[in-house]
Amino acid sequence: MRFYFKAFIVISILLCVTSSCQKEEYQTQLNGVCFLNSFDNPKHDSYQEILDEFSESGIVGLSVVLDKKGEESWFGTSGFSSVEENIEMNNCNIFQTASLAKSFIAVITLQLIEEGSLNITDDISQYLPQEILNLLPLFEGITIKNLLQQTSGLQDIFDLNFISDFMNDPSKIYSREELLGYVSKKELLNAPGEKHHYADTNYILLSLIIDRVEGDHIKAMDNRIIKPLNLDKTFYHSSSYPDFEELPQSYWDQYNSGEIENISMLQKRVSSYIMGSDGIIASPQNMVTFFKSVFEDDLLSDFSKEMILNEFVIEEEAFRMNNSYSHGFMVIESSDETWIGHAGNQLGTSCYVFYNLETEDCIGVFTNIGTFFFQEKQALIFSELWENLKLLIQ
Amino acid sequence: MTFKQILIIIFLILIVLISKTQGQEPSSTKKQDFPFYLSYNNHSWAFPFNSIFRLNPQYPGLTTGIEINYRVRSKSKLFQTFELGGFLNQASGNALYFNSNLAFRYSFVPAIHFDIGLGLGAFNSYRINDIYRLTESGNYISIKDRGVSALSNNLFLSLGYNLSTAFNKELTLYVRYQWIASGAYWDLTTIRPSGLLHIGIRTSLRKN
Repeated sequence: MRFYFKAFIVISILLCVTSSCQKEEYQTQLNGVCFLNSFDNPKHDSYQEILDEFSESGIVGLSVVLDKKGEESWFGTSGFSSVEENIEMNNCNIFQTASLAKSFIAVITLQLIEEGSLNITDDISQYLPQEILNLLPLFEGITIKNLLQQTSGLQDIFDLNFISDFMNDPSKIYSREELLGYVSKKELLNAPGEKHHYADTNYILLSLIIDRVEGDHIKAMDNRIIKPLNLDKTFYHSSSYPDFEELPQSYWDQYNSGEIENISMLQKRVSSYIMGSDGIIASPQNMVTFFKSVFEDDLLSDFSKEMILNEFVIEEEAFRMNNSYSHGFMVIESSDETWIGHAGNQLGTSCYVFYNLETEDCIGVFTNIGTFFFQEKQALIFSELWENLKLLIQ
Repeated sequence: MTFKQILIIIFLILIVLISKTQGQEPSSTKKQDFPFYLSYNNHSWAFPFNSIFRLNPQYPGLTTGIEINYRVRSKSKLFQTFELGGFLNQASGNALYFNSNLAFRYSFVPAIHFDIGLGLGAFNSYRINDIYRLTESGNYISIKDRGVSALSNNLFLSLGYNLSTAFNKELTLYVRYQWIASGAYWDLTTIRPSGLLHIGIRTSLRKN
């Protein structure tokens, strides 16, 4: 019996020993010249130094916009858009923007409320067909406002059941109805309106409500936001979506081992079916333009803006950037400043745009690495880089 | 039901079954017959007792192992398995694993038996894509995937049918559900969950 025990130990140790071997080292080379550059900005070097420091810490590629009130915007990039081809990230790259879509859907919803097509206090049952309502564990008492503030109590679609199905069959394309099926048997986490619980379910339902009221939420996005703001590098399920030359390859570190894999195909497939809560591909410049326009221009009425800026609910999940949530916007409140915007984190992408209500400065960060599964990697982008950029822009 | 609750129930079943065998006839004195088994299995990325019978898509694998008997009675057996296996999963990644399980077998009727086992092992995961590592010079280099090793816990439940009479040879056909939880994975799940549905045969290495 001792022999078997020893053999077991020896084989176990052998299996546990791993090492990696170097196959090929690529040389860095520039990928052409992009029409946007900020080399003339007096702070260019210090900005760039921070970006390089973070790309060398394991963020594969990143693109940052620092828009300081009264100064010319600074656009900077670091790292790689493709590590296979050794192509550097540049200012012409566009990005998957994950949950930033929620702010777009919120703006369309608030516009429809301003126009009288929707009433913010109405139950969602007034606007959704019975076959959709049947998918929800409960719909009575859930209002449009609850969906906007994510206080409906509905649980998230993207839970372990979905992840399990996704990991077994990533080629499957889901309809919004199929996605909602994942919450059908889950009880509400709280009574509607009682508490904020971040869940994509709310914004998928809002996209279905917009479809019902406006005909098509994709066209509404185009007609109400993308065209009026001239967002020429913003795409939402239109034209050649989601295959764009300017889209960087996207990566994840599945085992948090410092070894990255290309998951661009997987990410494109996912963004092709998540609607309402995700799915916008845009340039960093366009995204910053959108978020600034919400608060500085006439995209929304003063009444809607006041509602966004004053009616916050508490975000209790400590791992998120924000400590409050408004109607489609995350709020980072501290004693001396308030930033409002949104963050997004999905397979192969991590990003955020925040606008400072006091100084009217805006910071946008876009990357081609997904950090959703690892808190340490999330902290690198959503906490450390954020704190550094806030200091820089002051 | 949480995974912890499931484990407690399995432990309780194991204790009850072992205690039930105490009144049976004494241990066999025959020599080890080194049962050897080979199974085909389908892998799923799944939490325990979820998607047990998921067969589409197919992510095939093979497992082979031997059993070492500790105590043999007329209706029951306490034994340890040493097994080596692997699967090809083009969705969530391939893996090789080595496990050892302490297991208990109970025969309800002479030809049909039920196994329950718990154990530890080593699980080596391989990616399905090329992988790259950042160098000190700030470039990414392509590296060969040697896999990511992690300790694993696993449990299995089997139902076997003894075909010895029909074949005049020690031969058992069994189906087994095995669940392996390996570490070194996402913060979100903390483990990489693997569900394996096996169909296999078991025979003896010793000639009759």
